Amino acid sequence: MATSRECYSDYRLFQFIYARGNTPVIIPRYGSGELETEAGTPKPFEPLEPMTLDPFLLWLESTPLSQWIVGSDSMFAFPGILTFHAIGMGFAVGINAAIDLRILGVAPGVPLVDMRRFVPVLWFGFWLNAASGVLLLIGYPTKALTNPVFYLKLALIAIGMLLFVKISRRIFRDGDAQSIAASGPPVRRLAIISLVCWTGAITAGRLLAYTYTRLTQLH
Amino acid sequence: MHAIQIWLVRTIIAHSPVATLMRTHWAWPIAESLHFLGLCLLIGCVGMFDLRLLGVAKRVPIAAVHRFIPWGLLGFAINICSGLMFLLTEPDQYIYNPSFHFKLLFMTIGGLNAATFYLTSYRRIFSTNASLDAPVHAKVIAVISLCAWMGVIVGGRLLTFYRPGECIGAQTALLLTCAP
Repeated sequence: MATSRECYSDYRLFQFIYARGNTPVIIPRYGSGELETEAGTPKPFEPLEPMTLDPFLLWLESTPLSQWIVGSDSMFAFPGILTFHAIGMGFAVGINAAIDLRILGVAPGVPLVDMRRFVPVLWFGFWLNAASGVLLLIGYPTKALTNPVFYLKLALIAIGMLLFVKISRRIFRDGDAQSIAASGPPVRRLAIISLVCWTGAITAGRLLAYTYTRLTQLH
Repeated sequence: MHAIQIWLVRTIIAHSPVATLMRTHWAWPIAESLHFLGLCLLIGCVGMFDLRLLGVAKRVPIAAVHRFIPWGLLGFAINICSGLMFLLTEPDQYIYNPSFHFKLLFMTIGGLNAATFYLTSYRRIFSTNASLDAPVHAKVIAVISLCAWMGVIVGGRLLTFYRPGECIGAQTALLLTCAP
C-alpha cells in the first residue's frame, strides 16, 4: 500500500521508542572514559563530538526515570504520560477558553463571578500538564531543549496563565458591580489575547513532533 | 466485519479527495492542531456543563450554563472534519487500529448518552421553575459523559502506539486489527 508514513505524527518517535526498548542502547557514563551497554559490558570509549554534547542532558538521558519513560513497553510510560498531557490540556485550555468566551458575551445568563467555581478544574488541568510535561521533558530533554518552538510554547503558556491571573483579578471580585466593570473593553481585549495565546500554545505544542532536529544526545 | 473494513480501506484509498492535500508539508500538522483546539472547546464547554449538572456553581441556572454547549458542538464539528481528513488520507492506519475502534466506541457512548439526556431530562431541567439541583439521572448522565469524552481522548492519543502491522495467519477476532 503506497502511503507516506512520514507525515503521520510521532511516527519517527514511535519507531525510536521501539528501537530503544528492544535493543541494547549504549549509555555513556560521562567522564568515566568508557561506554557501558545496558547489559553492563564495558566497551572501549568511542570519542563523541564533545562540543555538541551537553553533560547535563547526557546525564538526564541516562537516569533510570528517563530510560523508563522512553524505553519501557508499558502503556503507562511514554504513551500514558502523553495521554494525561492531552487530558490536562483539555481541562486547562478548555476552561480558560470558556471563561474568555463568557467575557466576550457567550452564555450571558451565567454571572461572571460564578465562573470562578470552575477554576479549580483549570488548575487541576494545569498542574496535571506541568507534571506530565516535566516527565516528557525528562524523557526527551535534548529533543525539546534544542528546539526553539519548545520555548515558544512555554512562553505562550506563561503569557496565557499570566493573562488568566490578570483576568481573574478583574472579574472574580465578589460583591461590587463587577459585571459592568469586567465586561468593558479592557477585559474583553485580554480575553481575545488569551484565546490567541492558547491557540498558539497548542499549535506550537503539536508542531514539536515535526520541528525537532535532535532526538537525544546520541542521535 | 473484516470484509467491510477491507472494502472501506480500499474504497477510501481509491477515491480519497483529500489525500494529496494532506500529504503536503504542513497540512497534517495544521489539521492536528485544529483537532487539539476542537478537543479543548469540546472538553471545556461540555465538561463544564457536566460539572454544573454534578453541582459545581450550583447557584447558576442549568439552562444558563447550557448556552456554552453550541461552542462544544463547534469543537466537535471541527474534530469531525479534521478527523475525517486523517481517516481519508491513511485509512488503514485507523480502520485496522484497535485504539481507533475504542475511540469510536467511546464517541458512540458519548453521543447516545447526550441523546438520552435531551430525551429524558430536557423538559425538567429547562422549564422556567426548574430546580437548581439536577435530578439524579442527569447526574449519572454527566458522569458517563465526562468518562466517555476522556475515553475518546485516551483512544485518540494512543492511536500511534497501536498502529496495525501486517496480518500473520488467520484472523478470528470480530474486528481486523492488522493490515491484510
